[in-house]
Amino acid sequence: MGLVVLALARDLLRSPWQLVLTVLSVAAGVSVVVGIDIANDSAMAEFHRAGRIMDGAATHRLSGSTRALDESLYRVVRVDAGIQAAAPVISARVSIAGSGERWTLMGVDPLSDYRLRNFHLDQFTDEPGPEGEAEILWPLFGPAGLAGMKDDFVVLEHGSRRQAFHWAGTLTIPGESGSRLLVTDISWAQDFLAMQGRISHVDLRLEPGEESVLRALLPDDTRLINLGIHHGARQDMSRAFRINLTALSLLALVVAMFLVYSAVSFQVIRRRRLLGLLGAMGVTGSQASLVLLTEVVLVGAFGTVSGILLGSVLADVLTVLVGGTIDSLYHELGNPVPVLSAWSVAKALLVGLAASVLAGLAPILAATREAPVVLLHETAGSRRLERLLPWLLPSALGIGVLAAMLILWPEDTLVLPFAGLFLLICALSLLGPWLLYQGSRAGAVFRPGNWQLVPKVALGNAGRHLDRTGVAVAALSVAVSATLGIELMIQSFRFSVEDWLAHYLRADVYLSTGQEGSPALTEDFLAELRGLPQLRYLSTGRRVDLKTDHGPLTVFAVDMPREGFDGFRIIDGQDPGLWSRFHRDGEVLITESLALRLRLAPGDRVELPTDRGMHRFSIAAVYRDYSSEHGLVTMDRRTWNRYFDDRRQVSAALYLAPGADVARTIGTVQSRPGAPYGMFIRSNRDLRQTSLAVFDHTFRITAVLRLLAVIVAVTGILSALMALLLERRREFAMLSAIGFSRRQIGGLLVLESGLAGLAAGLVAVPLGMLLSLILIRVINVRSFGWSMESLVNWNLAWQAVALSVAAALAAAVYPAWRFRGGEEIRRVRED
Amino acid sequence: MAKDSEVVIDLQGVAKSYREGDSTSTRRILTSLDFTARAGDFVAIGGPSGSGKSTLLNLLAGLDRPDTGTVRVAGEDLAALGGDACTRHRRRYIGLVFQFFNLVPTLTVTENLQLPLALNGIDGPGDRIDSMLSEFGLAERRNAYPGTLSGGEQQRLAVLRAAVHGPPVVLADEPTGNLDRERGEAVIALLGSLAEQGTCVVMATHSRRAASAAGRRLRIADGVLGPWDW
Repeated sequence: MGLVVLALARDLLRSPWQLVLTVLSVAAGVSVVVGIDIANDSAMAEFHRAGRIMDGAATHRLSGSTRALDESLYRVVRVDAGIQAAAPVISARVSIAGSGERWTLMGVDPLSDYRLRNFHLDQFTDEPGPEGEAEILWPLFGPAGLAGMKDDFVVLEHGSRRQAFHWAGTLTIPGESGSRLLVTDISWAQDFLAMQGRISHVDLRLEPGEESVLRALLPDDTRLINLGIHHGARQDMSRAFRINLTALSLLALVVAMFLVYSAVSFQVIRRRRLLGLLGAMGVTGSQASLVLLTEVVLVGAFGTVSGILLGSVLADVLTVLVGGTIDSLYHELGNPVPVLSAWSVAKALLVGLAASVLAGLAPILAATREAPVVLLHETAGSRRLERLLPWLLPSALGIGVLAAMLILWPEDTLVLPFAGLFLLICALSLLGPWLLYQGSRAGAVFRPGNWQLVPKVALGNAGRHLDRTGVAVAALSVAVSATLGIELMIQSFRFSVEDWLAHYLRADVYLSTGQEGSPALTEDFLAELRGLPQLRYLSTGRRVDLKTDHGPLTVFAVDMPREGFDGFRIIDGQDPGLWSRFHRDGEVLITESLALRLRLAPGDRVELPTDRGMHRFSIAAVYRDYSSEHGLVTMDRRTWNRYFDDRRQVSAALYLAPGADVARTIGTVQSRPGAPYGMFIRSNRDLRQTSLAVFDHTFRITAVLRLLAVIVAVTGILSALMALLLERRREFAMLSAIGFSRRQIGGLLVLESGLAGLAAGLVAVPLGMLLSLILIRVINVRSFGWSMESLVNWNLAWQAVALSVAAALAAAVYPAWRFRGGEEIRRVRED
Repeated sequence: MAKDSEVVIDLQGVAKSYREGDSTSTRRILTSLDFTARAGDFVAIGGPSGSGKSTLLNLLAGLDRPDTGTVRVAGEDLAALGGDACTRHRRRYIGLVFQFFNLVPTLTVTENLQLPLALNGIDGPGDRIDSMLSEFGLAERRNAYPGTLSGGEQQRLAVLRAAVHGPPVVLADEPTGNLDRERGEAVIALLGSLAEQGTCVVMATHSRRAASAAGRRLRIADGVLGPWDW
């Protein structure tokens, strides 16, 4: 076997660049999977880590529905319920002035907190801190090297509140580092956040039997939350987003698998004669398979390891993008640090090696099961795919039907639609080689003049070498269709969001007091606004996050005119009495994402924790909304007031008289003495633009992934063409011998490649449109609960064809340049 | 021909057809062919192009299977052997020489000769290979790759490779078809010497000059073997 290995290995090393491109194909695919995997894992690790730090050993949490708890509740827990492992907490997101970073500030009671959390506070001083100009500087603990700290002082901001803290010592948490957590005494936190006499929540470690005792003592507006269930529900919110990213990364791997198949297949096809010779001399099919499979495993392993290294680099960028999106769309996330875990490496090794072996198995078995006499016949290989061509269309159709069944399977899962999607892509990509073959056959009937001979030869060759180029053409069509499909989906999404904003945002000016903890709009200020001469109507609103067993759920309490209500895109439950039932009868509207998530419809009831206990609100209608994927319940302000005590207003919308100057109105509102500090005020147009900017930011990561898929595909087609050049040296030498110039032969190669790119592009257009339709109608609806319009953009379609042709032409340039006429003839003779 | 020596090749009633191009019609190449050969025989098979010479050799090598009839080589019915078993049988009992040499281009001259020995698990071939290379004028090229050898050198190497592990049967398909007269004669002499040492050599050729060195001369016509009228 040693000499057989040597013979095949030396043959492999005769084309080092081809080996490098094969390794690169695997590496490119694996790197995208690893990059996304690390980014997802890091984001989730940060989520869990933050949970571990914040919760400590707590199993349950007491919290109010919309309000902070009265601190007397802590006495009920400790004294009346007799629970020892309990700690009151103040918790808020704050900003560090000067750095802009968002941190979590915890106010804790050191005398009780040690039972739950393992904070080490290395105090420099027990003094309350030096006296500033007008205030005592409060002690604060945080990690060493805090950005924004100056001379042991740091200024924290929360809404309109600012407070200088004295750096009292270092906070260390055994086993954890890099957390964005600041700790102070609970009383200082109450003062800073204007929460005197109140607390955010009480953390508890409950022993068996304590839960029922505690529940019996709790007031109606207080909820006992199981932290395990609660964090699971929060984590589920971003699950669909992470699954989508993983699926996109797997798409890159599928493209890479095509390329590995193409590369390995070519390596085998190129050596069919050698394999035939070895077979004639007594090397069995299983021996040859073993050697070739070992070769594939080694190449795959090298590519996978390279991919893991590349992926680790890529992860630095992707983690920032993924973490930023999760933080802004789903739940608070600190600063995830990309870490390559052993599990990620194991998964990458498995995926990379499995993909390589799977891709290589078919061509290897096809060649080693062939009789040596067939392998020794040089042209036998080129007809294999040709014989399969009549089966391509029925096979594609059959697989397509199976894929459609998986995609439309009425099970609320993402795995089946994605599996169907990949199956569909694989099936329809087979049409690229088929189209190329049919085009080639159609070209054969032409009787060209002299100047058309070269194009005719190119067209004939394009169909004749399908065994070598077919898979690369399929891979290119997959990559281009994925690019087109995702771009169409994003454009459709953007169009729908724009349309939704245009309908939903009906007022001329919007203002809000900003982030969590901000002061409410005072009645005096609202009265001033109502007094503006250009005002037709003032609408006020408030969004409140409620903690439910299904995870966080947002209630939007609004006082709006009929005109504003008409901006809701009702998709189920539209009827003439809707406004009246919403405005007067206390019925609520829910978003389609909530309707899908909780399987609710008009006429059903949605249960919410209110200040009067749990209440089931009747659902009047379902509306389209892209502002929250975990769901919104919108209710009239009067309905809210019946069930909730919180009367604060934090946002308002101004409907102006026709012709009123919006910019001047904004200036007038800002200059009012009652305007709250840090108030955000935007014109309708600005708000739309800002919203679309956030949308574009969110989809930056998909742009990166699309680019990577195209790079992978171009690498593959380059590899296939380089391989083809090597294999066809004999043919080119013959052409050179009968008078073809080097330029003509190069032109022939470029033309053939362009035709392959054209075939791939023409197949990619319908495939990409189908892909976008599935993403829009199935994947997005199941992932996020958002339906949207499907756009057909022919400009994008032509761009996709152009991209495909350009990629193929670019890939042909180097091989065409590399052909050197006379030298090729000499090398052929040597062979 | 040694009449008392062992029969190493025995074909009975062998027929073989091929499909013609893409059409469904078939062309019969061999029809009920009988043929035997013994150890030490040097048999030349003649006939015009397309008469079935290479088909017969492929059947003898187990590279192809007959439609009907039996092909026994070195005591085994090749048609009854499975794919890998047939390969192992060929590896041990048959040496092949092709018109276009078919040397392994990525192995040196010495390594090409080592390959059949290695495949058959024969150790310590160094001295034997060295003496063969010296005897047949290839000692100076022992570390060269086949691409750098002349046609004659390549074919001599191909014959040596076919015989190096001592198979009872060597099959040569047009071994001189790609060589000039002088080099062709050297290769035929080499094959003759193998027969003298007891190897059964079957050579397909359309060259009368090459065939003249053989002890038996047969010709395929209309799918059956008959005497080659000289």
